[in-house]
Amino acid sequence: MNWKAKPKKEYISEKDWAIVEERLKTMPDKMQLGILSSSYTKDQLLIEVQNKTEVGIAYAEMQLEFVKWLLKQSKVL
Amino acid sequence: MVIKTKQSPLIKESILIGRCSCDKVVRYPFYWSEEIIDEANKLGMNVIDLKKENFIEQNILKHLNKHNPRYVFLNGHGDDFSAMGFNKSPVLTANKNDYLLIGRIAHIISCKTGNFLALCAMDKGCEAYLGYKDNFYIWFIEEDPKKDVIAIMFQEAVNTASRVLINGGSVKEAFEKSQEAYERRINECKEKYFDPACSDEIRDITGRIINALILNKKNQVYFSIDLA
Repeated sequence: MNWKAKPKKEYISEKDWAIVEERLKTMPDKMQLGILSSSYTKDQLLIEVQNKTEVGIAYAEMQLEFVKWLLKQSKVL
Repeated sequence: MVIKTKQSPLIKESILIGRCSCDKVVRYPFYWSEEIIDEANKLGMNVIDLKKENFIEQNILKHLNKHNPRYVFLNGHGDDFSAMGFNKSPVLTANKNDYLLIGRIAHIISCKTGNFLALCAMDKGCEAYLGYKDNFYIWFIEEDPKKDVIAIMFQEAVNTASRVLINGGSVKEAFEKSQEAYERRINECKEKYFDPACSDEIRDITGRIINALILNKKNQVYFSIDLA
């Protein structure tokens, strides 16, 4: 039996990756993030996102959930 | 009852600690906070201790406005949106009163607040946020937190971070020290787990504790903006 899970990055569309990257670029340059037991600066995190690494995926999932929630909160005229 | 220590003219920093003991689980972080309160007092900090029925939203607002603490350490239940206080009443909620963390350093010991609440607060101008993006697990074997040798492993990781922060360390340092504490305890438990003399029952419990420690370590997150 193949126990290897399908890579999650396949479930994040290119459009969503672009949203995550754009959102990250708007963060202050001196931002730092600790996730999956390691610390990252904004530039390091950007590389993780661009390379769609495990950290990039974890950050993208977090941001996309947040953006979806924000959109639900918003009022439409 | 709100306990406020005497303020000396040299005091620069205030710390607000929220804690409740409404159920078996939150009773542990409630007790752990006492170590931090003692240390903060020794450091000459102005400690605002909101405990039990005083750990409610209105009091958080009142004391944040009155004392303007740099540090906000909350202990209780939580979900993606809110950190909760007395009887699971929300005390800090994303897009409601998360602005209260603007310019402050928050250490929230609860489940899941490292998600929306943390991101919302950081978007609004919170200086730093240390918490957990998924469940925060505690293992205990005693009814009394003071006697529990298992919960100490979780206490150590949590309080290490708080201690680094109140001693002026960065959130990155606090995160890394806390991660080290988790790692150290995981390795200690692993030694026990693989000890041939270990009984099946102890091995089973140790395995579950290892899982809880690993998950807490993995779920711990921080966001920080270096304002210097």
